[in-house]
Amino acid sequence: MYSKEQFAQLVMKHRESLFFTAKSILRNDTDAEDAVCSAVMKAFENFDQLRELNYFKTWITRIVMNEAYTICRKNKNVQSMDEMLTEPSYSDYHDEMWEIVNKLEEEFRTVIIMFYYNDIPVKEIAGLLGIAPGTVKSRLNRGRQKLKEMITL
Amino acid sequence: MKTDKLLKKSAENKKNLIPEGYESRLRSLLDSLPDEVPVSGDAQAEVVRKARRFDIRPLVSAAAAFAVVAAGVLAVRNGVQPALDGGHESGKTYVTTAVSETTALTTSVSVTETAVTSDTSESVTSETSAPVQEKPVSERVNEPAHPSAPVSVPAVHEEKPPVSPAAPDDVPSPPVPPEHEVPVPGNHPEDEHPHVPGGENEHPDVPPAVTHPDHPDAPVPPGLENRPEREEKDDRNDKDEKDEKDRIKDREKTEDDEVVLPFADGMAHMPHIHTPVQ
Repeated sequence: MYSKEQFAQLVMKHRESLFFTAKSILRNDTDAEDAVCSAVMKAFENFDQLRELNYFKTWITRIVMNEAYTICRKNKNVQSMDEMLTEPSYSDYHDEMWEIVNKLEEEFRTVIIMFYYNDIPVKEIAGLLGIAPGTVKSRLNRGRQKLKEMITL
Repeated sequence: MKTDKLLKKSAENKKNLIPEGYESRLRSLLDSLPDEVPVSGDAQAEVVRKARRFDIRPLVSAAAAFAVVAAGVLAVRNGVQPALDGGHESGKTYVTTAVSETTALTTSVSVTETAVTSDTSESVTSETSAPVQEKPVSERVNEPAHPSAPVSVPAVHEEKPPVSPAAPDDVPSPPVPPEHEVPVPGNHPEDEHPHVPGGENEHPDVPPAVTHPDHPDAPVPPGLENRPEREEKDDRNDKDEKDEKDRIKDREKTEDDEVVLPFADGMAHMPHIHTPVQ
């Protein structure tokens, strides 16, 4: 049986990864935080179903993705309006590369953020997204090419 | 390669990409969580589902399987039982050997009976082909040349016309025993092959070539032409002679009686004549 302290330690350990995962889907810091918070609450409710703590990162990452997609579906029309009217919100730290990554399409953006910013291996990314590892690799390559094109521009 | 390096450099500074209020929000959320990890309702539902599955589904599947098996067995039984009951003797032999043996005995006996009847019929037909007065089958059966020889013609000479057992002109017929029964090959194993009357091996004195013409259409040997007629004629002649003798004797007797009778009858009418008493 797990304890609340164990859960809190694991969440704080992977907080950055969870945020980037949510951010890769939602492209909004506030929505990403909301997705992570709701995912943490759901994870705590179902924490007893986790058989091994080694799979906590994968497990809670999957929950964060589901919550991000749920928020994305709810705010679909609003987001489209936001994309038309305003630029995606950025933190105070200004990173050109991060800005360019957030301009990528979702399929390439998710893979690049998980691989480079969350340090998730290709096989795990494939498992999380439900696609083949070869597909993950191809998306990484195509995402890099697009980033290169965007940087040259 | 440049993009890859740029991405790695950007990832090294990822801590700066996270908003400032995110960490405090997470901490406040974790503090607000209850102290004990709640038991999820899904787990309870899972347990309940498992219990229901364990209770109902195996029973249903077992009942369905039993019904299918029972139906199959009944169907097979209904399909096979008539075949077993319907005179399939080979199937009965697997049940009990005693029944099979009895059936085998009965069948063998019946076969032999049919063989005998067929032989007699053949012999009768062969003899009836000749324009001779027919004799009863029992007489023909009791007329073989050899006492131990049965009436039936062997299967080896089936294509040949059967030999007439009585050939008084050519072959001296041995005396017929008083109790001459038709032997049944099934009862005597050594007599499985019925003896040939006038056979080649057992009775060399009987010439088979004369009695067995190769072809039924072949001309009959001269010695055998109208042989039954001769026999009948001889018999008739003998009978006629005997009858004539008897008639003559009767006539003589009647003449004597007639001679005497007028005297006897006319005694009343005739005048009384004294006859000398000797």
